[in-house]
Amino acid sequence: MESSQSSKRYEKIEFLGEGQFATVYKAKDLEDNDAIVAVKKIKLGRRSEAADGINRTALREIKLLQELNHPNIISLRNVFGQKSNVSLVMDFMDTDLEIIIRDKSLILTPANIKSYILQTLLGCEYLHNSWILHRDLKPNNLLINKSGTLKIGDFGLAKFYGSPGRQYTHQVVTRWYRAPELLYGARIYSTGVDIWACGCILAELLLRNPFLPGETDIEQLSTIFSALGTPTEQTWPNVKELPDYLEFKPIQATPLDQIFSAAGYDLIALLNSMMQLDPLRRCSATQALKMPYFSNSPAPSQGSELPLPKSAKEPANESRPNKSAKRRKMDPLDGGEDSIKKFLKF
Amino acid sequence: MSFWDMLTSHTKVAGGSLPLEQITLPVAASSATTSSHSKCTWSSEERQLFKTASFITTCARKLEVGSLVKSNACWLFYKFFSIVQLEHYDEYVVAMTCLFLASKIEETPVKIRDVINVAHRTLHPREPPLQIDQTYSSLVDTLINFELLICRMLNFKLTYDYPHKYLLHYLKSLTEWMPAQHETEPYQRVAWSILNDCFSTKICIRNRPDQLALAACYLALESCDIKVYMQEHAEKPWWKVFIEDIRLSDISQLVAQILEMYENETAVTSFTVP
Repeated sequence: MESSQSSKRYEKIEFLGEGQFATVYKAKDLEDNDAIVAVKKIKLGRRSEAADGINRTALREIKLLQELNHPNIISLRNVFGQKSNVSLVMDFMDTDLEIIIRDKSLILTPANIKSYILQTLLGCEYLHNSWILHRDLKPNNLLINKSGTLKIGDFGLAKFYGSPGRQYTHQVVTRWYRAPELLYGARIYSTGVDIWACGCILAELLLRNPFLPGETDIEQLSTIFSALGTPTEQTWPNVKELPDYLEFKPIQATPLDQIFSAAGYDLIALLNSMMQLDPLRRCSATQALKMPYFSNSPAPSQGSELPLPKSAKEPANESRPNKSAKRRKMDPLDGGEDSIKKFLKF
Repeated sequence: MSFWDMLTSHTKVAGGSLPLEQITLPVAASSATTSSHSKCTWSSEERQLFKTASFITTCARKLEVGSLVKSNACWLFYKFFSIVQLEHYDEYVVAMTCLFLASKIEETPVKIRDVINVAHRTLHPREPPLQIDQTYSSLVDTLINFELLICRMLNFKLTYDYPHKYLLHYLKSLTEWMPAQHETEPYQRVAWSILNDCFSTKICIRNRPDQLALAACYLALESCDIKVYMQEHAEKPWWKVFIEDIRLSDISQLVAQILEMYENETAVTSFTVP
């Protein structure tokens, strides 16, 4: 069967990380010029979870990513099953935007910022044109490779949208990037939730810190309103009709150019249209891309000019003298050059 | 409601009889309509698959999962048995697994327990409900193992371009084009039912989704004796507007497949879905 070959096709290089549903390894694709790939092995989980069969998050990723093909979207190269496991083979990405933003030794120039947000919006536009909502955009899910290409990853919460009247859960998107309509419990929403998240990401690129870090859902709303002002009938008509609407003490909006004093007027204009409280007034990805910010100078950085954190600069494929403690813990049998010879065992 | 029920109810409303032979059909299709009603042209394997697909339909209806989940389940089922041999696997276990998997793929997840109970009730209507015991938990394990098996056999290609959306588009365009008098005609529901019925046989995996949807639409219009408005003055036939490269012979061939399915369905009367 195909899968028994597939497991031999990918030669494990190192353990990369562990999420709620999966373990990710870096591996070499022996059938594709030794290309470096990421193998995401879906955990079968405890017995109670096993009773649900294949993880729905994994199914979603498989189903959606198979249909997508865009330079700014992570691509699914292969899927294979072995014994009771399912593994997804994706592009290997060296780092992500969260690491870059947090790494204060890196300098992000206006051109760098423009490049990151441009690539994010291009990916986002493609998704929305394919009738897909990502629903979990955040710096951590914007993956970046050595050549400076940014790809949107983690489609575990993504969903088709556009069926009239179809209701969705509002418990999506990591809180800091969650749009106000979701916090107010909207069950019918659209591309605005992704655009809001993009706005938060752009703000975070400027501040080098999360723009709206709320500790609870209610605090999240008050954080949003203390920066952008409370919604009124004028700024957000019918907001009071939302299921979980709460009235806040009226706060005046702080003009964005006061918060982001170093940003140009064109950037402020973009941020302002992405961060409209009323989702209907928020711009679409296509509209955002047509705004003057993207045609004004400076031009977005080319891939090679983008900064990379130290961890991603190290040459891959070589046995490193100082392996991380985490890796050692995860892979006690792994030693030096032997690791390259070791095959992925699923 | 099956296609034939719809057709009969429609004729009653219209107050006239509409025998099958009078339906204007393309040449290739008319041979199918005149063939004997009692003779089944299916092999025993095809009959068995049809029975099981009907079982999926029944369970899907009881679980209230909607047309897409049902169609996806039937599609997975026929895809699976186009790769493996029927005698090697229990077709009902495969059917249950397909339904369970399809419900997850189409984001209308059904509990594995519900699938098992509904399937048991459908297959054994007179027996008491399943107890939660060894048999039950081994059924759960079997379904989970089969789920992965099906995924792997299909190489994780778990969905395809469903014909439903094409049909919806065709019908919407036609309705807007047709004079208001046709609004009460049931051709839209007939077309939808025909398309859904196609998922009971291999028709669903053998044909291009857009062409299948168009054939369902064509057959529905013919069955209801509706001419597309202003067709005689049009530059090109209405179906060419929807699919540029389709020929009348393609439609005829598809309609023939569909009619053959209904003929055989009538012939397989010995089997009734409980």
